[in-house]
Amino acid sequence: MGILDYANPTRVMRFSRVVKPWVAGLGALVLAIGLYMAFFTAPADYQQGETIRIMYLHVPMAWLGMFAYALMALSAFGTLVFKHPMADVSAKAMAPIGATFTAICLITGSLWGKPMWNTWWVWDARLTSVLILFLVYLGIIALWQAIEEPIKAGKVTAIITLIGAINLPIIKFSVDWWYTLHQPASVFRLDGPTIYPAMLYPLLICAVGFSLIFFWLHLMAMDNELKRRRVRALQMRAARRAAPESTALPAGQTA
Amino acid sequence: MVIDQHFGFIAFSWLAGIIGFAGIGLWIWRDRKALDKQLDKLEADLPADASNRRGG
Repeated sequence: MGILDYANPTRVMRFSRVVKPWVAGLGALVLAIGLYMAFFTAPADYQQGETIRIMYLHVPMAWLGMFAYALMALSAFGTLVFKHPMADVSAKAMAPIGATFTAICLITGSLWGKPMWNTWWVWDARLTSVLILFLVYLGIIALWQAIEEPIKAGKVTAIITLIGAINLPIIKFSVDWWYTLHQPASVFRLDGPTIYPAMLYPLLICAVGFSLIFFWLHLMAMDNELKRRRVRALQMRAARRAAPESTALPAGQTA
Repeated sequence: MVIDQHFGFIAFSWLAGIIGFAGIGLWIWRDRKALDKQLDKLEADLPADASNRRGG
């Protein structure tokens, strides 16, 4: 079965109905294990002490905020190049979830920064580029709301989404390209993670759990978007049924 | 985990996460309820011979 077989909304909704409970259940289970490890088995950091517990939320939110945007960019490509009817549904459903995750990343980062850096915020490259990601998410959400016709809105937001994707490598490599207060990468590195395994495993398990919850939320939001489009189609049909009397041309005039 | 002088920062971080997740979850759930209600009403108003009702 190819990806174009999932161009049919009815098929997507049927697939989503089957998969959602499994994704939610597995996500809750993995996250419960991850949180237990994060709070009870992972050691405190020798320099940061107990504040390291913020990492188990902050880092997965940062990864997923960027991952959501990467998926949106992929969907935008699907909208513009393949005109896949589900691509813009997926992108529109993704934006508020990605924005929420990025907002959590920024807030938890600030709450981690105050005790460790003695400041809530600095305009360094990493923090600023993540703030830009959040603002781009807000812009895309606003654009979806501003254009009523879904196909036109899909095309316009796809172009903006692809332009905004330039920010993703900037976020990733900001800590290498510029001097930043934010630490460099310690997990996704060419020479392997530099983080202590007793902290790495809980972090990865939390990341998997949050990712499953993210996919569950995305499936729910996609269902909603398909329903919204059906509502719009039915409203237009009802309006057309009611229209003939009111839109009839005056006598003697032809269209 | 030991409760130290930074406990407030840790607690507020996780609270922010919980509020964020609850917020987006609730928003999606309320949206779903509202859309279901609208769909039920519109489908009930469809002519009897309409063949493309939900799931049809």
